[in-house]
Amino acid sequence: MSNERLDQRPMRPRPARVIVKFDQQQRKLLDFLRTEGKFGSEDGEIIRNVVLDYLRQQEKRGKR
Amino acid sequence: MKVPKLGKCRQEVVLEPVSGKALPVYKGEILRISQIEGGQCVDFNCFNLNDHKEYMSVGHMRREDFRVAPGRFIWSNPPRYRPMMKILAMSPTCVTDTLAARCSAVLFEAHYGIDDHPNCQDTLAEAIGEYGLTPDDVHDSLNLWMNTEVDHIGYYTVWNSGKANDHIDLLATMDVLAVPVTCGSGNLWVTSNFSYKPIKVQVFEKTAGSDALAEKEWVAHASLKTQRTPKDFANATIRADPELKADPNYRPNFLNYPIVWKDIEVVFSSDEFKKIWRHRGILGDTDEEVVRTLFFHWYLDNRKKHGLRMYSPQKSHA
Repeated sequence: MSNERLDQRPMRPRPARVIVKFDQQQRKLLDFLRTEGKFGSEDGEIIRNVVLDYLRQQEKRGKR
Repeated sequence: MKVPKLGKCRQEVVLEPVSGKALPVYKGEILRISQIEGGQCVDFNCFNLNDHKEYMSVGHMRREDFRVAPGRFIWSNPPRYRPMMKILAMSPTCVTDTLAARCSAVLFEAHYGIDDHPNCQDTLAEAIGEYGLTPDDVHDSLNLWMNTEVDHIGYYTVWNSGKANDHIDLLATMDVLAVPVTCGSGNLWVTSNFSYKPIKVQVFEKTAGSDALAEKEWVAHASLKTQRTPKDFANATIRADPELKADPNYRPNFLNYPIVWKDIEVVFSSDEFKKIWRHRGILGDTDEEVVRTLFFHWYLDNRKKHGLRMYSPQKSHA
């Protein structure tokens, strides 16, 4: 199979799993956000939503 | 900032060149330091009148700015880290400095070969000697009317811009021993334009307004759990023996030691991850570093409070 054909193949959307280490003090911030309720209840869910919110904020700032 | 009216002047001292004075200033009272002729640098130390181990920390004032200004505090050393005085007013030609360490006899011997030159270390030590404190109790000065500039190498001093009758007003937010001295380096350096001049120091009694403001600032800025005093220390005994020897039975109790890590799995869709991937090499070298950095950038932008001087006990977290 040539490289050209490989490039033409549609990329299969696959979720990416990232393992992030947080220490006990960093996890307190997750607890604060969990209490707010806006970002989810599980640690991974909170980190994901915060990261995506930050990227959205950056995009907005870039558009201004 | 609303400045309370001055009360009756209960003490007035003219500090002649190369002299200083330790003055108790009680909570709610105002200390005024004034130029008489202008152009004289003043070095300033400050102790808690009731516990001399609590004293001004210029380093922690420098965290807020290189130059302190009206509205800012004279902070004490951690773990106490409490407001000792508040700057109420200051002439625009009074330039403050938190970078330059006090001059000492060693500098003049090293630079000029003069081993008996007046200097702030020795003047401060002589002034606090009245209260039984020693030369070792002198700490970094807050420098008033000291025009320093900063470049890429460090700081340097320029012409003193202080004018006759310039003054600075400091409100005591706790009982303090305030120690202003006329800087000893001014006759050989530009610090005081190569000539010594006297300064005037006054203490004004508290008024209802100054007392209320002192209490308001104390409540607003000295109510954190972590502003610890000797009653919170594991060892509150002040050593009398100067020689340091290890205690073989001592076990340190480091806060939150050891660190406990937890692996957290974070799942992103393919499209989401593409956006994260763009930050590789800028916000981290690994996916984990990038995700963690993005998280903390968000937290700093959106949830971090504004520091101790903005602290208000009425505001809850987030």
